[in-house]
Order: sequence, then structure tokens, then C-alpha cells
Amino acid sequence: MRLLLNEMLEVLVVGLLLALVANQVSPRGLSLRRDYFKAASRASHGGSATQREAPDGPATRIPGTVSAEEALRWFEDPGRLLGRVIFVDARKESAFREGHIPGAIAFDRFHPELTLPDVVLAATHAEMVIVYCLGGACEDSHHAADQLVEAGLDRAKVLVYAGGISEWTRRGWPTERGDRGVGAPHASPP
Amino acid sequence: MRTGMFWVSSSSRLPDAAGWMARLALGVIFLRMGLQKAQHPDEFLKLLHAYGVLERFLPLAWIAALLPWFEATCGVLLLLGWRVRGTLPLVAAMLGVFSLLILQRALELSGATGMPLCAIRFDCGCGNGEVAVCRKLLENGLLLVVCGVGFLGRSR
Repeated sequence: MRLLLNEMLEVLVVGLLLALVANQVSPRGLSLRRDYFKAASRASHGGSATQREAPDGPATRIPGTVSAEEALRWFEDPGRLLGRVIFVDARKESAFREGHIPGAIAFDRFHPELTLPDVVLAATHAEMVIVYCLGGACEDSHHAADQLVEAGLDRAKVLVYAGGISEWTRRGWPTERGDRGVGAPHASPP
Repeated sequence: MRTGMFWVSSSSRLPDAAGWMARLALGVIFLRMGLQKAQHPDEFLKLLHAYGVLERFLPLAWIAALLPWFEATCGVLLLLGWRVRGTLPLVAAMLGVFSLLILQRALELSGATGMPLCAIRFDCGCGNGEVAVCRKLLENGLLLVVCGVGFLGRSR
């Protein structure tokens, strides 16, 4: 019995040490110190959010979020082309390349060190930052928005488009494939 | 003679071949599952978060970052035949814990949607995408039996 426990302990220790090293070396490794779901835990403790209005539109019913129509209005706002309104895509890079809202900036919340500086730089000059992910049960946009606020952005100008890219494409609104700004425009089927 | 959780008499020991096959099968499965999850730890992390239970015991990032590599290590140990006796109970423990979590989540979903338990499908974070719950639980049950066979077998 003692031999068995010793052997299990050996496997456990060696296995965990190897796992630590592998996670550290892997480019996809996660940070062991980060709480990736901080926004969710704060929300469950009564965290507050912000309410904003879309241009010429009614106040958003859900604080901190925009509806599809409001997201479209922000998309069509001339300020978007001047960088005053930006869309941030919080999905993984492969999904972003398959199709995103034209001009959106990719932000991988699991590896913020890769893209956060670019996003913050663009967002600092923007008056409105709209974060989205897949939509539906996807929570990445909420967590990404929280990370952007933590990085120093004014909470009042960061909103989440909860319907996400699924709703956007379902409505047949334009998307772009490939890299930001240089990807091929693509009209989604309605 | 009592060894660990099993009562084993020398006459009841399974033949070498059964134990050998059991550890090879488990080795391949755990190595494959571990490496699949290790390629997308962020996806695994989100799936673990969906259970809504594990974060009470350990930070989810630790589990998502380390468990896939630990599973892969167990797989390699089983394939190489090193420390098999110490590895199999750990493999069985992982299977047992995740089976309970899958069952608990499936019961929650079944209660919320009114669907029969065996009609529930979701991505359990097991490395194979969306699966039917009953089939997954059956698979895990079989793997636990294979763990027992490997443990009782002489192949080490």
C-alpha cells in the first residue's frame, strides 16, 4: 500500500512538473496567475455597468451592451472610418480570419500580451469601443471588455455587442475575411 | 492480499496479455486526449468554466493549463510501461471525477430543458467535441474497467 502511494505521488509530482514546463514553453500556454473570468465573478457580486446611447438611438436596455441595430448604427457612423468608433473582435485568430466586422481589431483575451497594446492604442483615440465575439452563450466579449477597461480604457466608452458575429452575419450585414482592413469584403447571406 | 482499492489474490490475477493491452489502450487514449486539449487550452478553460464547480477547488487556469499535459504524461508512462501501478489509480481518479461532473451538468441541463438525460449532448471538454452524455458516461465506465484490468494485470 505504501509503495503504491509512493508511486502515485511520484507520478503526480513528475507529471505536474512536466505539465508546468510544457505550459510555460507552449505558445498557447495559459497564465497561471490570471483570473480569466474576473468579469463573471464580479458581475455575480453586483458589479456595475454603464448605459450608453447609440447615435440617434434609444438608450440600451441592457447596461453595457448594444443591440444589433445599435451596433449597425455605430458601424455606419462616419466616425468609424476616422477611428472614433472601433469594433474589437474577441474570438480566436482563426475565427477572425474566417470573417469579422469590417475594420474590427482582433483581440485574443487569452493571450493579451500579443494584441492588447494595439487595441489599447486604437481604443485610446476612439470615442466608442464595441466588443463582440460569436454571440449566443459566448462570454468572451464581456471578459475582453473588462480586460480593456482594466488596461486603462474609460468604462463608459466600452460596450459589448452581445449578439456577436452570428447575429451580424445572420442579418446579412457586411463582413471581411483575412486581416483587418486588407481582408476581402464579403456580403453575408441574409 | 490487499493492494490499494482492489482485493487481489495471486490466483485471481489477470493474464499478462490483458493487462498489457489495457495499459496500451489507456496510454493511447490519454496521450491523444491530453494533446488535443493542450493544443487549445483556452477552449478547454471555457468548457471547464461551463461546469461552474471546479473553480471552488482550484483556479481554473491551473486545471486548464496543467491537466492536458498531465494526462499526456500519464499516457506516455502507460505506453512505456513505467510506473504503471502508480499511474492507473490517478487515471481512474481523473475519469471518475470528470464522469461525476458530466453527470451533474447533464442532470442540470436535463432539468432546465426537460429533455431526457440521454438526449443531452454537450462538449464535455473531453477532447472530442460535442458528445451524447449517456455514451460518454458509458465510455468512461468502460475505461474505468480497463483501468481495473490494467491494475490487476501483471504487465508493468
